[in-house]
Amino acid sequence: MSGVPGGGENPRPVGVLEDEAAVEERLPGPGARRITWRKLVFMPAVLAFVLLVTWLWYEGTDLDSVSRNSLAGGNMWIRLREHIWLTAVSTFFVLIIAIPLGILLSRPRFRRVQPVAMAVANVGQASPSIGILALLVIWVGVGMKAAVVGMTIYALLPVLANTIAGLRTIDPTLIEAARGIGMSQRGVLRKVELPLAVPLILAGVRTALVLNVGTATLAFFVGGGGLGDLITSGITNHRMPVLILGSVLTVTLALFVDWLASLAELLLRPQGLEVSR
Amino acid sequence: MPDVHTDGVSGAAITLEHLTKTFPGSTLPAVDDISLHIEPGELLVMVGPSGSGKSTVLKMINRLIEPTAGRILIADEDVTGIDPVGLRRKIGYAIQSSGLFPHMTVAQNIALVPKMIGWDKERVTARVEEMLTLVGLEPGEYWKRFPRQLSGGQQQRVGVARALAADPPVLLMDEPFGAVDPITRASLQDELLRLQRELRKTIVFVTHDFDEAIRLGDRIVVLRERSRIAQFDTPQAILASPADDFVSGFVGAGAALKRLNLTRVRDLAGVQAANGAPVGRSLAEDATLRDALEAVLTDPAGRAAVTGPDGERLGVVDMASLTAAVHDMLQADRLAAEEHLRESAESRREGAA
Repeated sequence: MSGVPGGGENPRPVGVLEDEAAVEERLPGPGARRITWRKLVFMPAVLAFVLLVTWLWYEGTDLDSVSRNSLAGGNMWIRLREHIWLTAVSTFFVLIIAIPLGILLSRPRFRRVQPVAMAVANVGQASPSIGILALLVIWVGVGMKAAVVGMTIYALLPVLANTIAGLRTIDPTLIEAARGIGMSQRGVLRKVELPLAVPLILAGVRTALVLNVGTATLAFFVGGGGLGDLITSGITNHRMPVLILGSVLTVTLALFVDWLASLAELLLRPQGLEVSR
Repeated sequence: MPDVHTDGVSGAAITLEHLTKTFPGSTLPAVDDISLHIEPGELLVMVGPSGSGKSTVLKMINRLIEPTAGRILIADEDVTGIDPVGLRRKIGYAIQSSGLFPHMTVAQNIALVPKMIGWDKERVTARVEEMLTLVGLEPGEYWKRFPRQLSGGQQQRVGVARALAADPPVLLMDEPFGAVDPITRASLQDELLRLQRELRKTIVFVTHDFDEAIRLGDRIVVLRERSRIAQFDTPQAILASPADDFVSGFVGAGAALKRLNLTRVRDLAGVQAANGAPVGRSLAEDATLRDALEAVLTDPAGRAAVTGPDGERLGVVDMASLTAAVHDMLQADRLAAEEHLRESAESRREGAA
């Protein structure tokens, strides 16, 4: 039977009483409740293997002066650090803008503005990121600032949409129950609505993070640095090793960030939601 | 609101005065001028078809829905204008499908209201344990469970425990047993009656199930569309003489059979003295007349023994004694109901004069 709150309209057939044994089985074991051993090890192992293979291949290739120039002075590490920094900072701004905005837009007072705000956020997502970046250069000038602003606009939508969806999909009878037992508006939001919306919000954050790792490769075009530098110089100079190094690092970083976010999703999701009857 | 403590009654009186609700965008009121007085410690059942606005009336008592007009008094205090959040913390609220928060454990759910009104940690812990025991759930076993690890009936018990946790004088229940299977529902109803004998809260219970209303209610309000009161009386009186076609339609067929549930064998006049004839079936004196009828019908000799608490035989019922007793009973109900109707008609005339 469905045990979803509010979905229990159909009474169980007579005689099928409280099934204690079956209920017992659904109890999660203590400790190893969510993160499985395989989940913890598999992705890092694959990524480490990819990096190892790339490194062995890279060691075995003869680099000419152009390639060496591209990577001189620890350029690879500098670009990798820039890339991570760009991703982290733009995601930070996405979080502090999109989550509060999503909460605000789901309050009854602002619910009417919701479609408008979503349409604006959609424009940010649908327009090509390189276009946004180019326009921003005209406005804020060349540099990391333009890159961070552009990436933030680009990744706003998934978090905003998921925050709104997460709050909207909560069973209204639960919210009424919360008000009915005497919670204040803020209490309902803090103790009931937000915790229940956490899984969807986190899914949005995960999407935004991965998007940002990808978009950060374009930051190079507006002087923002990042691994885009390696990729571009590899293409323009026809130097495969540089191009491949930049690409492999970007992909590995994206997958690694996605893996970290998936762990965060499992850890931060409120208990009690995954056990379903 | 002051707690009323007389004769073990911990409930407070509730008075609705000309309560009306018109929802925005509709011309007809959903609740049209309802006035009711609910005695302290009474279990009042509001019953009516869907769309009769019974839930709206209930939600106006704790102001989840703000009335358009009229007043609500709880223990003689006008609560129509006070802070609704504070008001709701003093009113227990239990709803269909329990309304438990799935991300909180059973204990956290029950502790919510006591924490909100500022009880200290030890008092809250002790209270949660007490409440779990009260609703028949072993605290050690259920304390840390999440609602989705419980069966529907268990969830509903926790829902009642949460509603009672801060010891409110008034308890509002909105079809709380609507989503559980019939057997579990019957046992939850029995539990509620047992709790109510102990606690004597003022309970307003909303249901669309007339049988549930008969089983639980000290008095029943039958509501028709727009929450107009069709009849407000004891279950016996409503069964014996429905005020009009609407009520008798709602009572449904078999009123006399339903009436059997309301009387115990113990109260039956005319249980014959034991005459030594062999009797196959036996009945506890606490059994209802319906149980007695069942026993008589299934006994080969058509007789059943009535036994006392220690198993001693008090007498024998058979079809003839049962029929006679039921006839007398229904006759008495009818007379009482007619008397009651006459009285209320007279008081209305006096009020109008």
